[in-house]
Amino acid sequence: MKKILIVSIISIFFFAITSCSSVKSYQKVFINDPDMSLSLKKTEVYESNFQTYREAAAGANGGKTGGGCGCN
Amino acid sequence: MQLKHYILTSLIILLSLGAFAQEDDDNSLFNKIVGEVEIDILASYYKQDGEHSAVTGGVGSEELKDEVASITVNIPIDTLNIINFSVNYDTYTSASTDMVDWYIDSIETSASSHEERKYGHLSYTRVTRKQSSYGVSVAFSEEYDVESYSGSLNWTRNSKDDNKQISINLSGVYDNWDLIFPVEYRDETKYPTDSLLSVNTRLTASLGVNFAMILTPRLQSLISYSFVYQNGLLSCPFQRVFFYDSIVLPPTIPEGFKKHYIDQLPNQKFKHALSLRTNYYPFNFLILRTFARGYYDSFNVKAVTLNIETPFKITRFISVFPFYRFHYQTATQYFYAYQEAHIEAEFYTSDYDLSEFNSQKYGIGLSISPPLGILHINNFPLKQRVSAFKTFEIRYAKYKRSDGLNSFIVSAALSFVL
Repeated sequence: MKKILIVSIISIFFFAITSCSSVKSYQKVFINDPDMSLSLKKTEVYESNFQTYREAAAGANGGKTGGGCGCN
Repeated sequence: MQLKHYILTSLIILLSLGAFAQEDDDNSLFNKIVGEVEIDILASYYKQDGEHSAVTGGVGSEELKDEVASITVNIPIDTLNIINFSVNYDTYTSASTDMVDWYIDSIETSASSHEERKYGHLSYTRVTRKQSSYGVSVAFSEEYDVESYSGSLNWTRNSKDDNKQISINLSGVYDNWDLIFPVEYRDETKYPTDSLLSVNTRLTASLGVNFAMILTPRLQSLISYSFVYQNGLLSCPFQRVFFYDSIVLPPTIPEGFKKHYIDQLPNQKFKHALSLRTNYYPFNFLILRTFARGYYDSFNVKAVTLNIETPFKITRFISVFPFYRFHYQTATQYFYAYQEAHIEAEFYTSDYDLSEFNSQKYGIGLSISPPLGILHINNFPLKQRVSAFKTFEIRYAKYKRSDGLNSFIVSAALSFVL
């Protein structure tokens, strides 16, 4: 798992730094589309909340603010 | 009923803002606000069922219904200062929470308990220079057995061409629990609280680093890393664990009832999560939104999560988006199924949320968001501002876990701009 994580990190950084071209403001018509937003959709927030309760994994995509143990 | 209450409250807020503006048309604070004030009203309904209730040691109904309503308001005071706040109300019924008082109510006929959670947040963001901003936020949450207080700081910086952005977030959450033990352990003369659990508070500190980049006119990505450290109560005080070997039972336990105790977990935990989100617009009618995350924590849980969503653009402003999510996790080293734990073990839990399983989530959503709004209202209820019902979004998701837990959730969002 650690090796996979390290390889992933190196690959992502290499991918990122090779992006040398600059996209101008007038070229961002598609980037500015609401469906292209890099954040969760508004209706996706509550799904993220119940997944935080029902799964052990969380993080790197937002989460709940305090609250109980989600006991069912 | 609660949803109607919240919609009525939001209308009262809007009308109150109008009354405030009318007091002094020239100099009111509201008329000084630059940019659009955005109000989001969100609601969702969640229902689940399963066969591994942690309250009864990993067996029993996990039936639960949850209804949530919230209002979020974003106010750009001027070009440099933004205030954002939200209020949220959550009400849920849970068949297994009622089993905390197992010996008082009948197992077959006990009604589901009903609980509430109220929470809200307030944040302030200031743009310091053209490419940089910082913010601070506070939040509060209250349930029947826990109160939570949190605060966070964040900092964001853009590159000169606005193609790259880095942000750092530091947050802390303090939880204070009212320890509610299973009914058979509530006699404090026989079972002092500190003999069952040593702490009733929890501190969570987290660090998040995000790096976003526009790669081409149709492709952008976000790399996120988060580290979380927790110290304090990490188990659930009313969750039971049943052992396969013997334990001295409290004398009040009926003869024949299986040997058990309550969840015991370490008081410290740390977590690492790394994710990559990539959005690509290959054709004018189709977008690909992908998400991948790797996770590891000190309870020895390892997890992988993959998600893909494909918005189809029916028109420029209407999109339908089906989605699919897959998640796999290993079990924590402290997990034991019903009657598998050993009494001599130091830590144990039968909470199936910490077991090994894979899950799948799939569903579909609809979004309508024309630039001038769905309803365009002039001068109502505020003079000198135009109101619009800007965005409508609705979403349905079905969730299935390999241990038998099933659920679905329906969510809706309405956005208004003033």
